[in-house]
Amino acid sequence: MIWVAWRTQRLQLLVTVGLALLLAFWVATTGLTVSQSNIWKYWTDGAVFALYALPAIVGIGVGASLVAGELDHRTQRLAWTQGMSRRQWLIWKIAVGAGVIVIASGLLVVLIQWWTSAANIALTSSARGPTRPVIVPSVFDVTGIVIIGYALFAFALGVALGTVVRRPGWTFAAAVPIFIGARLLVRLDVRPHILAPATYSSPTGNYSPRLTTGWLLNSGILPVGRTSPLPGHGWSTLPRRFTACISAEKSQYAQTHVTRWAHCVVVNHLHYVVQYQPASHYWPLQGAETAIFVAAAVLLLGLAVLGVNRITA
Amino acid sequence: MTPTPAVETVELSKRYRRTWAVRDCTLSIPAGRIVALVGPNAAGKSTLLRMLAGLTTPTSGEIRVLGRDRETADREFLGWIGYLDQERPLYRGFSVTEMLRYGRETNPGWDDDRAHQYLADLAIPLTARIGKLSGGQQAQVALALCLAKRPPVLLLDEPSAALDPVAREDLMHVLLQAVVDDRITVLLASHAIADLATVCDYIVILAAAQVQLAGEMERVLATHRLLIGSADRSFDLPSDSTVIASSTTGRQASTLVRTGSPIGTWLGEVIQPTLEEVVLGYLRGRGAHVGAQREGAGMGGAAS
Repeated sequence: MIWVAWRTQRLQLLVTVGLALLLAFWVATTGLTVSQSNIWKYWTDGAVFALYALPAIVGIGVGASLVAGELDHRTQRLAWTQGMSRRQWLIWKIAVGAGVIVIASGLLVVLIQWWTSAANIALTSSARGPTRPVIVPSVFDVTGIVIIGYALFAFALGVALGTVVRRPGWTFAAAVPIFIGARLLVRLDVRPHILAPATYSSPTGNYSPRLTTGWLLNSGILPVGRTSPLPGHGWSTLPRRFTACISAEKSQYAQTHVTRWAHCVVVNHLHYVVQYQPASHYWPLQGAETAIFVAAAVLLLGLAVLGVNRITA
Repeated sequence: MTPTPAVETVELSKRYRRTWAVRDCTLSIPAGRIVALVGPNAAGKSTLLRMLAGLTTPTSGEIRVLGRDRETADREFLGWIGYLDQERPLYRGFSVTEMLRYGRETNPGWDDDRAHQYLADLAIPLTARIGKLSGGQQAQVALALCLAKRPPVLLLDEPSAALDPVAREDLMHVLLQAVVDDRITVLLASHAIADLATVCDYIVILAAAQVQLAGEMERVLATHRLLIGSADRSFDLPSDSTVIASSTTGRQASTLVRTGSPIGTWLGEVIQPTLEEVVLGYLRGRGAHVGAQREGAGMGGAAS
């Protein structure tokens, strides 16, 4: 049965492996020469975009053709009248497809891990000043293990939608916005709250060095003693006495904007508060986000397997 | 004791939104028969076969294959039926060898020698891509897949459509041989009534989603008569006879009649209709025969 599950998706899986090897080759060769100084030559927007897009596109593509591809060509009338049940058929196909995707994305994960440590960056601060921290989304999303979760989720989405939409092209078109929506939802509303963020406060607004490695969530000016806004107020609302002070001071002192702000903060018993996820939360957040997407994938695949018997051939 | 019918349906119906594809189909097909399933396009033949194959769920009614209810037997059930779809789906990128391997890996009872022998007799190259074969060759590969599975019930939807006349005849021989050797049951949906007449021993006429006639071929032919005579002549029919259809050309009328007793006085010809004439009669007069007519119903017909 493994041969059957492999052979009916052979083209899609070979494309997956081919693309993964290409990416792996690129990562491996650039990783041999990357260092602190030339990292930005390699860590371009284009490269990051490729790492964002490819696992999703490939995952959805393989998933969409798994069921919808057969329904579109009516080969399910052949496949579902042989000697095995529809569920068996689907489970085997899913196992082989998911297996290849996990292995391919796993390979990428390992290489990227090696690459970031070879550049000695982990993209944390260097002697020359802060560089982009590792837990910030644009880096978080393409390092660590989350790519495996994203690829698996994309695959599961393609499979599950394919059982309903029944045409691979339309399945792909429907899956892409759902995938993007899910990713954005998790990044914006779930990831910041998985672990309680740390807060840093200072009376003068000078950033602590540890903030350079963290992921800035919110910042604002709050009364001393508070580390979060008053109920009903947002982070960006400035306290009234502060704004009053600013406009009053404007007329009185010909100071720089910065010193005027610092003065008004201190005088009104306020302080600067920064809410952030520290770098130490990187791996727990990676694990949690991967688990979320893998769980969603398992749920979608389970629904597909449960629902396959209801498809009218 | 009545042996278990190979295929049995009870009030089987399938509706797609507002149209009935199959309606109140009740059949009891004995084992070891080659059944002709005839009817016009969109009569419900393909839908019926798909329901028997487990691809489509009926809207209502029951299906029993070899005595087992379709709902409860699943993987086992799939081992009992071989299905050939009208579109003859195959994996176009596979080679013939890979297609046979597919059959071998997905069917426990696969007879590899049979498949290879069948294709070797037709000189179909094993290394060719399925997509590159001609339509007839693809049909033969699809048939080989069904036959090598050696199922007790074969459901074939228009198997002859892509085949040349010689291939058609050969296929009928193969099916006959399989019935004789393995006592399988074959349901053939087809338009080629002339072909079927030589091979089939049971007929089901499906029109307007309903079974118009179902019964053993010999009985059907024995109980139908074609009356040919002048158009303006009236005739007395025995009380147990029904007029199926009547067509008039000029002053001549030919009437298909179903009767249990000999026709009485009739100035004209009373002839034995051919299968084609019976079928055409039922298809023309189908509006008048809502509700199944089962030959031999209530007389132990399944045993005949």
